[in-house]
Amino acid sequence: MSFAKPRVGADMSELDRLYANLSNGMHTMAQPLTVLRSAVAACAMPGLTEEARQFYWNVSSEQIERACAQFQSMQELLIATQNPAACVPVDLSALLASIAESQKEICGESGVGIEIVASETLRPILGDKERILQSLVAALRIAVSLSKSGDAVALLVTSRVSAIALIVENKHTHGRNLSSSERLSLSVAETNILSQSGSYELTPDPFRVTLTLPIQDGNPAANKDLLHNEPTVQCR
Amino acid sequence: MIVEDDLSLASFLSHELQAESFAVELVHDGEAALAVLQEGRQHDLLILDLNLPGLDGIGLLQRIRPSRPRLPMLVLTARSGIEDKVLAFQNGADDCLVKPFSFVELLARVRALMRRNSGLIPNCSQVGDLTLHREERRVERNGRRIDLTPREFGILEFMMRSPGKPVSRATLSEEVWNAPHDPSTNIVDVYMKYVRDKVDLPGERKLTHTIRGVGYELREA
Repeated sequence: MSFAKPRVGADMSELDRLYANLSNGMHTMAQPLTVLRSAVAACAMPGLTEEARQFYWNVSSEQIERACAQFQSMQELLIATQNPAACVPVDLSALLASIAESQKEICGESGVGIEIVASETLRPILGDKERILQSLVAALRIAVSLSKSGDAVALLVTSRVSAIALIVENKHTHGRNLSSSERLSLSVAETNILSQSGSYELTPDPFRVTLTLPIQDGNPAANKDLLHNEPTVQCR
Repeated sequence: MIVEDDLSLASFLSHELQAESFAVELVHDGEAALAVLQEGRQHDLLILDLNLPGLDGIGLLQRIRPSRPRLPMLVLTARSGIEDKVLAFQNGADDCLVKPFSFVELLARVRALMRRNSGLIPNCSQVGDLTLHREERRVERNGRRIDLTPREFGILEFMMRSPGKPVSRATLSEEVWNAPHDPSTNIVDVYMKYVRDKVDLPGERKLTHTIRGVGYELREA
C-alpha cells in the first residue's frame, strides 16, 4: 500500500503526470467546495440577519467563481495532455507585443507593471502560440499577485543552445506560499510547455518561472531531428 | 488553532468558529504552527490540514504529538483515500474530516473532541439558579430563558468554568476576543454590562460581581 500523495516530477510519464495533476486539482477544488457547502447552508438558516445573509451570499459567489476557474484549469490540463500542440514557427516579437497589449488586463488595478526585456535579436521559436501565451499569462498573473503596488514584474527573453528561455520573475521575495489555485494554474502552464518539447522550471520565492522552447532555425530537417530527440514532443 | 494554507477556507472557518464563541488563532503553514506550539501557548484544540506547504500536516503531527499528548487534533484532508486517514491516525490525529465537509459537522466534531479530551469542562455548568448548556448554547435562570449574543455567551461560558474566582479583563479579552487586552478601550466592561443586565434582573439575587482592580466574578451572594 502506498501512502504517497501524487507528486509531479520531471521523470514522470505523461499519463502519470496527468493523474498527479488531476489528483492535485481535485484537492484544490475541495477548498472552495468546502466553503461553498457551508456558506450555502448558512444562507438558508432561519433567523439570519440581512447583513449575515449578505456575507454568506458574497462568500458563496466568490467561491463559485474560484471553483469555476479551477475547473477550467482542470479542463485545460486535459486538453494540453490529450491534444497535441500545433507547433509552428512563432515570431517572438509579435508574441511579446501581444503580452504588452494585454498588460492592463493582466495587472488590473494592482499598480504593478510588466517590464519586457529581450537582450538580442529574437529568433523564431517552434511552438504553439496559444499555449505559450496561456502559460506566460498564467505565470505573469501569479507574479503580479505576489508583487506590491509600484513593483515591476520582469519578462526576460534570453537565448540558450537551440532554445529560447522566457523567464517571468519577481525581484523581491514575497514570503507567502503559492496557493493551491496558483499551483494548479502553473501545472497547466507546465503541461502546455512540455507538450511543445519545451522545459519548465519554477522557483517559488522570489517567484521565477522559466519556460524554455526550441528555436526554429530555418532548417526544417534540423527541427525535425530536434523534435525526434525529445521523446515528449507532441507536435503532430 | 487552525493550520490551513488555503486562505479563503481558513478565514471562513475562523469566522464561523468565532461566531460560535471560540477564540481562534490562524496559521497558514506547518513551520509557523510548530513555532507557535513550541512557544508553549495553550490551545484547547488543533485543526490541521494535511496538505501544507513545507512541513506538511503529517510532519507537524510527528513533531508535536510527543510533547503535547493531550492536545486534541482534528485533521482535514481533501484526499478521500483511506491511506491518508490511516497515516494521520497513526501519527497522533484524534479525528479526521474529508473535504468538502460541512461546517456543521466540523463544529460537532470540535465540540465532541473538546468534551472528550478536556474532562474539565462539562456540557452543563450551574451557578446558583443559573444554568448554561454549552452544546445547545442555552442559558436559563430559574426557568427563564436568557438570549445572549455569541460574544455575551463567550463571556458567560468562560466565567462559568470557574465560579467564585475573579477573572481579569485581560483574560476575558484574550479568551473571548482572541486579542490582547487594550487598556484604552472599555469593550470588556461594556459587554460585561450587557451580560449582567440579562443575567441579573431586578429582584433576583446578584450573580455577577465586579472585583475592584481585578475584573469580574460569578458567584452566589
